[in-house]
Amino acid sequence: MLCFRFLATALLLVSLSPVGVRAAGAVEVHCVNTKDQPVADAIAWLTPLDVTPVLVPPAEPLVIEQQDQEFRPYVTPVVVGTRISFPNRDTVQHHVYSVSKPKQFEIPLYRGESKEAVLFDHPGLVTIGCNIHDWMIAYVLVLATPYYAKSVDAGTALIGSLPPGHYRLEVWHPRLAAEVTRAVTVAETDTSPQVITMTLKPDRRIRRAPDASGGGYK
Amino acid sequence: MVRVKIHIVIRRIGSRLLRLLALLAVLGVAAARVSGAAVTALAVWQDNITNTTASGGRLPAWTLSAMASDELRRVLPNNNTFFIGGNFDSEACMDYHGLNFASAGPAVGFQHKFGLGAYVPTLRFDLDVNGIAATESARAGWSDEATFGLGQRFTEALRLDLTGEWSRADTRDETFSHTATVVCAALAYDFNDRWRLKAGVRWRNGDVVSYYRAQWTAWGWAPSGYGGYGEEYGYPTGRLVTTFDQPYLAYRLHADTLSYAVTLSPALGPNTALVFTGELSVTENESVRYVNHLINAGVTHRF
Repeated sequence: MLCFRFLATALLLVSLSPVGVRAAGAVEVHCVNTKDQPVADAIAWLTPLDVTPVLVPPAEPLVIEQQDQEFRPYVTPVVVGTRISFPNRDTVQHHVYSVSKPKQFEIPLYRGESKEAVLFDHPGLVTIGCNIHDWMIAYVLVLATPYYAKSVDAGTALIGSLPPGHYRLEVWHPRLAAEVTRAVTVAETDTSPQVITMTLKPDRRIRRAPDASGGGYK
Repeated sequence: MVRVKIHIVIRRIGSRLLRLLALLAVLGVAAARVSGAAVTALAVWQDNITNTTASGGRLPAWTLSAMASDELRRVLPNNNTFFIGGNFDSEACMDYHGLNFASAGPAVGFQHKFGLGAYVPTLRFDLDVNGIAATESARAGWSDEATFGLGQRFTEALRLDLTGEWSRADTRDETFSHTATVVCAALAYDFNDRWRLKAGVRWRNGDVVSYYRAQWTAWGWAPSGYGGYGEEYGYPTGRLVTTFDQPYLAYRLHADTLSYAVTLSPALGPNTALVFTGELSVTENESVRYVNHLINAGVTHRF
């Protein structure tokens, strides 16, 4: 009798948990620019409108490394509560910082592993730079939903394991000129394709190549 | 391999150098390594290497220039940074080898950023001391330089740099010594992450070395076309040089030089760029006025 009750309870819990939901829809977002070319490093996320999502940040910190005097990856979507470490793989030192409102921090000159991972505990866009190498930049988009994906070189971002329901789809890219938002309804087991045409601003990062002086009149 | 015989003259035992080296030894232990090494190689053509008027015997010349620098960086509180390093500079004149020189020495610097990031103003002070070796021993000696710089980036593409510099060169023959003050403003605009256009204006007040073709007179060597030498003849006494394969008199004059330069620089990669510069310099005082046109082309690489 006790064993039966336990089994029934377990089945009930599994059926109610997000993991146990049988329906697992997905949304495949195709990000293109106005010339119909695929756009990589775009972040697409779905905010459920019917329920408040449960956020489970990863147990281990994510990694944004400094390599060849650049941040890799360039764009990182995370859920609120995620920790990120910033290991330095270069032979030179860096000074990582952010003055963005959702997360302000500073890791002064270091090499190798950073002392501790940084906790991103507020939603929003965090821009990360190096106070020594002006051209180094990375973005962390802290989201209040667990349903997100980053587009690959082909421009596609697949957001899976979606309970059926109504969602708000939003897309962000570092060069996005205008906000992109649309309502999406996810059905059971369907993969709903969403083509997002993004108007992008020109890529105007700070030039990394050095300057020269000298050789003039003395 | 080309071997160049050089003469190194230590005019003073350089107590200033010893003090600087002692400071570097202490701070070098504490300094953290951040790559600041860079090299630049340029080919320069100018139409008036003699820095003279038309009647004085203007001569054009090609010069190859090589520069290298490296620095260590130590971050201090409140967005301050201390630098120690070294500079190397050399010029080889293809037409007149007597102008060849090489200089090298330590440098220290201090930088304050008014905040974090690329868009805050940056203030920097640098002190250099260099030993100068030259093909003509009279041009060898020491030089000091103190530089003040203020940099401000306005956008990803636009940056303004203002520089003030005081320099002194103390050479074996005082004709080639100088003291000068320089103020420079340069605006750089990046069309994209590859092409940069830079325009600058520089004002220099100080000693310049000007040359004048010489002729033998009963009173000795004198500027060509003048009856003799000395102030009464409108030209001061000069030093006879054979740098230009014919007799010239070298003079140290105090003058203002206004220079205008435009540089186009395409990036070859993340750490390498080509540079192409055109420069116009006008030097004048109450007695003389001469113009120099320079163009240079080269490459710069940061490690």
